[in-house]
Amino acid sequence: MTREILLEMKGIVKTFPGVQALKGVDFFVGKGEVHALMGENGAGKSTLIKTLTGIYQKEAGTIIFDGKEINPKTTIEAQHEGISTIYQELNLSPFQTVYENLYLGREPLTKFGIVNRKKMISDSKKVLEDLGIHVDVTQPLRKFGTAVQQMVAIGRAISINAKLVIMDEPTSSLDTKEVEVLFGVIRRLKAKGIAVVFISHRLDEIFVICERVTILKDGELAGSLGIEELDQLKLISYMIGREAKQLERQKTNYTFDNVAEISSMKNIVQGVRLNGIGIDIKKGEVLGLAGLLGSGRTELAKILFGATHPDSGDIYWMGKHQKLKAPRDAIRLGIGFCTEDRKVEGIIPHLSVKENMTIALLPKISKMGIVSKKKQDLVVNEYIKRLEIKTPSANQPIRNLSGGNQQKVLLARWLCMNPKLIIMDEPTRGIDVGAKEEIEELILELASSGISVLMISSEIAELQRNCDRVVVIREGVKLKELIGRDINQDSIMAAIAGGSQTISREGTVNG
Amino acid sequence: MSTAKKIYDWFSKRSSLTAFLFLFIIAGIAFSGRSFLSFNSLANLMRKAASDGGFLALGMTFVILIGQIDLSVGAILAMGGVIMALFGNTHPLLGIFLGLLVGAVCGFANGFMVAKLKISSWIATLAMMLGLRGIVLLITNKKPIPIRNDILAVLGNATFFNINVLVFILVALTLICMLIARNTKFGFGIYAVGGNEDAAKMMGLSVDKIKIGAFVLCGTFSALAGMLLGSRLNTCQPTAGDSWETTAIAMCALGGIKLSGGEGKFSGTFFGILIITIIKTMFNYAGFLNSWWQNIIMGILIMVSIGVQSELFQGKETKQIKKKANA
Amino acid sequence: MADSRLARVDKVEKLRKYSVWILLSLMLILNLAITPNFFSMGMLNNLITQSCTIILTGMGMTMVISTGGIDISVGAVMALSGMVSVKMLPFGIIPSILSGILASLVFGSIAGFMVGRLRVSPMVVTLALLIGVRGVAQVLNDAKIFYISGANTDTYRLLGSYKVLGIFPVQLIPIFLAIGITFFILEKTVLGRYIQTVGDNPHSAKLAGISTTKTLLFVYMASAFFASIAGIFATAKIGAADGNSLGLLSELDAIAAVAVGGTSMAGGRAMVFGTVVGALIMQLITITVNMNNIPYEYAQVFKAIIIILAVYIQREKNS
Repeated sequence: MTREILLEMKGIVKTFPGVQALKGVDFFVGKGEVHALMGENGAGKSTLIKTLTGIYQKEAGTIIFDGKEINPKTTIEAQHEGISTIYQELNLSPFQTVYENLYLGREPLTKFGIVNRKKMISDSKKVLEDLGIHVDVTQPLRKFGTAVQQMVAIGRAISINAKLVIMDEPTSSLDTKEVEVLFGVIRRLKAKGIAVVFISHRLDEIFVICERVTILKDGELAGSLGIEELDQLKLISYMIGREAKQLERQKTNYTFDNVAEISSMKNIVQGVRLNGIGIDIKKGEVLGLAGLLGSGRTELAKILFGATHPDSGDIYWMGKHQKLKAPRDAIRLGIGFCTEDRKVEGIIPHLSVKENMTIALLPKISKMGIVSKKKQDLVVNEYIKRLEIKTPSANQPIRNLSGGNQQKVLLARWLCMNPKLIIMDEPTRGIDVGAKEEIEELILELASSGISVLMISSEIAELQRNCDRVVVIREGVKLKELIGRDINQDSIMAAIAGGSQTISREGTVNG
Repeated sequence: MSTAKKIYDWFSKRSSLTAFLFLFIIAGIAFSGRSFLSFNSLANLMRKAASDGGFLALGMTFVILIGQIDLSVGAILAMGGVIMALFGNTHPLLGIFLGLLVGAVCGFANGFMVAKLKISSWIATLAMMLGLRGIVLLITNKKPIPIRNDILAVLGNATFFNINVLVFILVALTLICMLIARNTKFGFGIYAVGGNEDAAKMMGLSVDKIKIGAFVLCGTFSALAGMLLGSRLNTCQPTAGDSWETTAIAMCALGGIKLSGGEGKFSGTFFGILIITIIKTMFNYAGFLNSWWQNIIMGILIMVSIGVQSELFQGKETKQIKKKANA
Repeated sequence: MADSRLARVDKVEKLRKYSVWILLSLMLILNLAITPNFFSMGMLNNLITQSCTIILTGMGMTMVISTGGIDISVGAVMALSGMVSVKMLPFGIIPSILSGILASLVFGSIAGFMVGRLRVSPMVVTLALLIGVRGVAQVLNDAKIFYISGANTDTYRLLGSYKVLGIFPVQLIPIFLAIGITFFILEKTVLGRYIQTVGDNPHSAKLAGISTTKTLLFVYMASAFFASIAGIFATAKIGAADGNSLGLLSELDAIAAVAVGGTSMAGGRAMVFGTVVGALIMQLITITVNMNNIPYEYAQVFKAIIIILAVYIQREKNS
């Protein structure tokens, strides 16, 4: 039972200014193999795939595909070699029909040079039926849900003679039934000898459909094993494993049993991401939200901040029911939100450090709409000092600062508001170790002065060090709560690993 | 399904056709005393549709379908007519050829600025309009150029079965556009680029070529419009087509061509053209209303049309698609 | 490696900041060389009176473009304001001016609402207004030119012909006021920060608690306001309200002034003085062409080229 290797990536290196994304990674995929690629954000999965599909160019290493060495410079080149990608955002043409989407760019022509619709329609029907999908191919694509659209994307990949299909988080917007259908399709691909690289965080699914797992961590290969050699706990430890250096946990006993609650969320439901989840936060407490990517932590935080609205559920602040229509309302209550993706949702790139820092504070430091320059400078200088923000001046455009310093400015944005609750989503991501320590010290300082902190983090060591209480979330539901002395890296990992099964372990081979 | 429902569905899918018929019936009733429904007045209506910007709307449809806009169509119209007159009075075929060529070249310049220089089509075609109007005035010394050649004169004035040739050209061009849109790779590409440009690129389409192609077609149609207009009026004015770009946009909007791109059919544009024309005709018949009322109505029509197309009224799916595409 | 990138970015920013001034100096030198009688009080007077429109509309346009939008209806609004104010003149000079402003604000608020709340494309909304509002202006006087006459005529015409201290044209007042107000709002107030944030990163703006709806409503109303003032002064100078030609193509001049002045078309940092210099450059092109007896159409072509160049250069730098 030898494994015939289809894809051989050896020693792949890729660096970006300031960070080495891939430090010499090996990745082997067999013919007709369903192979999971896993790792947290920043581990290097998407960089690895982008190097394979021509979006990035590797700096070192070799790629051998189907016996031939390749180095694709564009996605089209990769497609011609037989490597297709099904993206999370699908990249299809919504207003055109299913059959048009399947053949866009390679429409069959009749003798007279015009497009042969009849052939397109009949061929598309065949391609999709081959995958076990029966739909009206003459309908516009957008009439169908994500699941069918995905099938169309897969069908297109097959009809372009893909030998390897990469699926990026394919199940993130599917319900259980649709996932079963997808798995049926994947099994058919396997039967045709087409390999599938499956990128996902849903552990249950990995164990159902995949034969092999490769885990990346911090730009390196953490492990590559057959699925039979793994169980959930072992897999998780590869992904978010223990840190060699065990920093001291400052906190010991849980002291908040009789402290007032400042906020609670009950029965929050939103799309497929949040399935009736609730949390509560006490005054002066550091509450950690643990879980893998896609578990719904950021979505929950955004609801608490008023940035998005739940389908159902209630939010309470100081015991009173709230209707948060926009972040404005949350800010008025005294909530601050330091977002995960600072480039897209945080910084105002062309404005200065000073303006970025005080943007939410402006109403408080102005009289009749006019900003008090004196007060503004006072605040800015105080926080530049306190957080040790390295910038030539407060008027420097923020985009000229390093990532770590930008993050500090964003933190200062909320700190200077003297909030009652600060939500921090991956606060130390992309920050050097020295700055990390400073920020963690700050968090503890805040908590001791009575400010509550809701900390979302994928680094369990970070959660272990700083939190009074940790809530473990998985697939939009609350799994477990760890309190006081019970918080350590092992218990957090075990909590994430143990979780209700949402998919049956036996995959049935049906249409 | 009852026949009544079948008929209702058929009509509701073709909103422009329905709107046109609606207005037509009203006009027919309101002006029945003045022989609105006579052959002559109907032929006039069609002729007006063709000569008062119909071709501009057809060309503009290509550009709006890819999610862009062309504000220079009026200026290209003037340019096309003027070039034709300048050369065509002595060499008619050359004049016609050059007129169309200048339209294609201007269209190419527009497409180049949008696709390769990545300038917003609003700014690029706005500047083209400004510059072209200046050039046209310079070439003609601000004076209109009369048509002195018989061949050119016939172009816009010939009649077959008492119907002006322009009507036939409009119908023929509409059919050709429909053919291109539905049955050629280029047509498929236009809808793909308009629907989701990033996806189109990912699927291997040459997005730049498609964009430039759309603008070239638009420019050529505009020049053709100018040539035919000049022929009809027997003179090519440098100020011809002034503000006609807005009429063309309105015709497209009313024809169901969504300004966001990727949706709409040429058959819709055809009826959009007719709708605007019949509204104008109704104004003429009504007589007492200032022609500037047309502007007001047009402004309101565009507002309502885009207001309805706006996010607040769009279905959930379309919102999600646009959100994904813009992420 | 990151440092050299920072240094390059800095140099490019500086170049962009000063490019307007460089261009202005070049124009002045060019004129000094080839235009007879260039540096004269007459020319200066001309420059001030003629640039009143473009500077005023430019101020409004700067705010709108700073939010990442655009307003091509300013010319039509000018015509409307001129026509309404002249029609209301018999009721007194104050009611006349106020009604012109009010009429313009109505349409400005429609634009602001559609862009801010319904999230419609600003280009399309202001295009519809461009068509419709000019229609309203024309319909108000049956498409005829309204020569100012009757009660309060002299007071109104003062707005066009008065000379401050006997030498400076009256237009200096609205010019300075407009620049001052706009600069103040954009640089010193909370709203000004909000305007630039909305244009620079609308997501961050929302998460920072800014109401994009209110901010956008304001800038479009402000643009209409400045256009209405420009319209009144222009009408006063001409002595008649011409619904057809007043303000025609002035939106192009305003956009050009803003683009050349360094405010990015994508929105964000607003360069108020840049727009002023850009406006002066556009006006100088017209004046140079006039004083050298070159047909005006050359100026038109040249302006079109400058717009394309300015926008293109800015796009490069936003990589």
